[in-house]
Amino acid sequence: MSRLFGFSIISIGGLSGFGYLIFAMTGSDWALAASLNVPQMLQASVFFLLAGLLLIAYRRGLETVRLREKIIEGQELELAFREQALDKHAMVVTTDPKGQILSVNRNFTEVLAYRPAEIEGKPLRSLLHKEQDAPIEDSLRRARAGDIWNGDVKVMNRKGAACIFHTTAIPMHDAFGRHLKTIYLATDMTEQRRSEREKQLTRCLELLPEDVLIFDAKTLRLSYMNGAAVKRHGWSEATYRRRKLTDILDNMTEADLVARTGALSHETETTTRFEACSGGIPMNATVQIIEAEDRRDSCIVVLRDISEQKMAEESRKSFVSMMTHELRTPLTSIKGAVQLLTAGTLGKLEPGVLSMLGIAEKNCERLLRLVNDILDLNKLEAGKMDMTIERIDTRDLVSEAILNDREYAAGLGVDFHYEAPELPMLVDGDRGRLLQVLANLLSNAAKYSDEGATVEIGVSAVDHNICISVADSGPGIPEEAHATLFDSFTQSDLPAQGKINSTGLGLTIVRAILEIHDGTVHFDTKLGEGTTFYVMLPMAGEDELGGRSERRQAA
Amino acid sequence: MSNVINIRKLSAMSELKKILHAEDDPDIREIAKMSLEMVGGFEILQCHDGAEAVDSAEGFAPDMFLMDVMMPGMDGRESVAKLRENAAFANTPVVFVTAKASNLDVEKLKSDFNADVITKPFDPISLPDQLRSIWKGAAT
Repeated sequence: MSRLFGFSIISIGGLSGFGYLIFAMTGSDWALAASLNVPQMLQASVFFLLAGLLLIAYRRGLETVRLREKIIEGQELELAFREQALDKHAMVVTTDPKGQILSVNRNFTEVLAYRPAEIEGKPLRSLLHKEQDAPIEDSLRRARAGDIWNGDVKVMNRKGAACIFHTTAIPMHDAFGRHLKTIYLATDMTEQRRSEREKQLTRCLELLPEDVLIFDAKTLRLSYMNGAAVKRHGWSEATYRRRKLTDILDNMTEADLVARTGALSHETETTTRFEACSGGIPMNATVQIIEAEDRRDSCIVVLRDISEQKMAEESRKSFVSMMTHELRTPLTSIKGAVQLLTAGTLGKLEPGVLSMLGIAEKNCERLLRLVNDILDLNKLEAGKMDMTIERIDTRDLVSEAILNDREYAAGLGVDFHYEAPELPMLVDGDRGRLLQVLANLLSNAAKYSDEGATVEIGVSAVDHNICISVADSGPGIPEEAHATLFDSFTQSDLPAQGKINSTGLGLTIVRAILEIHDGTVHFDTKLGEGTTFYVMLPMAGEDELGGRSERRQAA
Repeated sequence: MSNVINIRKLSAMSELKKILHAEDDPDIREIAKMSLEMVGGFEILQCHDGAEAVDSAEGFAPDMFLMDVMMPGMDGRESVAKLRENAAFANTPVVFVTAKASNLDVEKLKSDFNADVITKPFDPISLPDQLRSIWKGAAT
C-alpha cells in the first residue's frame, strides 16, 4: 500500500512537471511556457520525485520493523508455549551453581506437597532421600560443574516419603562459559518404578525354587501359586483357583489350618512355621499374613522341600546312636569286669590289687562321662536335644541339685549353703537338663573350693528373669581364661580338687543348654577371692504352660 | 501252653528265678552271666540274638526277659514284639538293656512294650537287686 502511495506521488509530481514542460516547449504557447518558469517547474518535479522515493523508503523500513516484531512476537509466543508445555509435563527446578534452589515450578511443589516458599533458597541436597538406588551425589556435583546428566533420583516429599524422579540436569553457561545455573527437568516415575519393581518381584516369586502360594486366611481358597507350585501339582490357574490349601497339604484338616492362620495378626504374630507333607514330600511351611487389596486377610505360604535335610538328620541320628552303642559296649564290659572283681565275686583280693582296680574303675567313669558329654554337646549343637518343657519352680530345682551333689562336695570337704526365697521362682524348661546345668556349676564350685569352704547358692528374680547364683571362695579365674571359659576342652591351669571328674565340656554344655532355654550364663571373679556364676532364665509367663507339659525337640 | 502259664503263675507268687538273657556281645554276656548267676543266684539262659531268644523262650519258660536292644538280625524290639504275641509271655516282665540314645527312646521302649529299661553300662553288683525289684513291681 505504502509503496503504491509513494509511487503515485512520484508519478503525479513527475508527470505533471514533465507535462507542463512538454506542453510549453511544443510551442502551442511559448509565452505561457516562458512565463511558467521552467527551472521552478523542474525543481518541483524533482522535489516530488524525491519526496515519493523517501516515502517509499520510509514505508518499506516501517514494514520491515513491523515484520521483525511480528517474528519476535511469534517466537516469544512459541517459547512461552513451550515453557508452559514443559511446566505441564515435567517438574522444573533451577539452582545456582552451588545447588541452592532458585525456583521451582508448580508441578514440582504439587508432587512433593510443598509450598514454593518452603523450598526456594534451600540446597537441593536437602530434598534428597537418604537411600538412593544408585549413588547420585557425584553425578549431581558434575551436573553443577557443567555436564549434562540424567538418571533416577529419590526425592523426599513433605511427609518424608520417597518419590522417584527421572531427572535431567542441564547446566546453563553465559557467553564467557561461566556457569550461571542448572536446570533440572524431572518426571515422577514413582508409580512406574513401583510397578516395574512389582513386576520384577512377581517374576522372582515365579522363579523361586520353593513353592509359594497365596490363600484366603478364612476360606483357605488359593488365589496364587508360583511356578514351582504349579509344576508340582500340574494345575492351571483356573484349576487352582477352585482349590484350597487343604488340597495341597496332606493330612491337614481345614480346622487345623484355620486355627494356625487365625492365630496370626498384623500386630503381633505375623508368621507361623510348621512341618507338613505335600504329595508325600516333607515340607517346611512358613505362613505369613498379608493384607489383600479388598481388606480381607490373605496368607502367603512358602513350602520348602526338606527331604534332604530329613535324610541328613536321620543319618546323623543313626551315627550318634551307633557311636553311643560302639563306645558304651566295651566300656560296659570293662567296667562290669572291674566291678565284679572289686566286689570279690571271684574271691578276695589283695589291697594293692583293689587299689589298681579302683583306678581302672574311676577312669572308666571318666571315659563314660566324656562319651555322655560329647553326645550331649553333639545333640545340643545340632539342635536335637530331646526336651520335655514343663513349669519348674527353680527353688525346688536348686534344692534337688544340691541334694544330688551334696555327697560329692562333702567328699571334698565342701558344704553348700542355700536359703530358698519365699515366693515361687517359675521358669519353663527341661528339668533334667537344667539339673545338669546346676550339677555342673555346683561340682565346679566344690572342686575349686578349699577344704572346709562353703559354696553359697541363691535364687532371685531380676527384671523378667530368674537368676540362680553359685558363689565359691576359690582361687578365681585368671583374666586370660575369661574369653575361652565356655569353649570346649579349655580347663584352667589352676589346681582343682578331684580334677579327674571334669571332661572340659561342662561349661560348654551349660551354655548350650541355657541357650536353648533362651537363658544365659555369666560370671564375676576376683583372683584369690572366688568366682560367682549367674544363670539367667526367662521368668515363666502367666498362662502359657500353666502346669501342662510339652514335649519338643529344641529347635 | 497251659503248663507254661501255670509255671508263670506259680513263680509270680514265689520269687524271680529264671531269666532269659539275650545279648550279642560275648564279653557283656560273660559279665551278665557272672552277675546273674554268682551275685544274683538266678537260673539263666543266654542267647546270642533275638531270634534265638524267641526260639528258646517256650522251652525255658523264663520269669523275666533281659533283652539287649541293638542286636544283629532280630533286634530286641522285634523279638519282644514277637514274644508278646505268644499268650504265654504276654505279661512276662521284660527289661531292655540299652546304651541309651535319648530320653525319648527310653520312654518309647517303656510305653511300646510295657517294659522296663536299664541303661548300659549296668552295674553287675546291683543288677540282680534291680531286676528283683522290677519283678516285684510287675507281680503286684
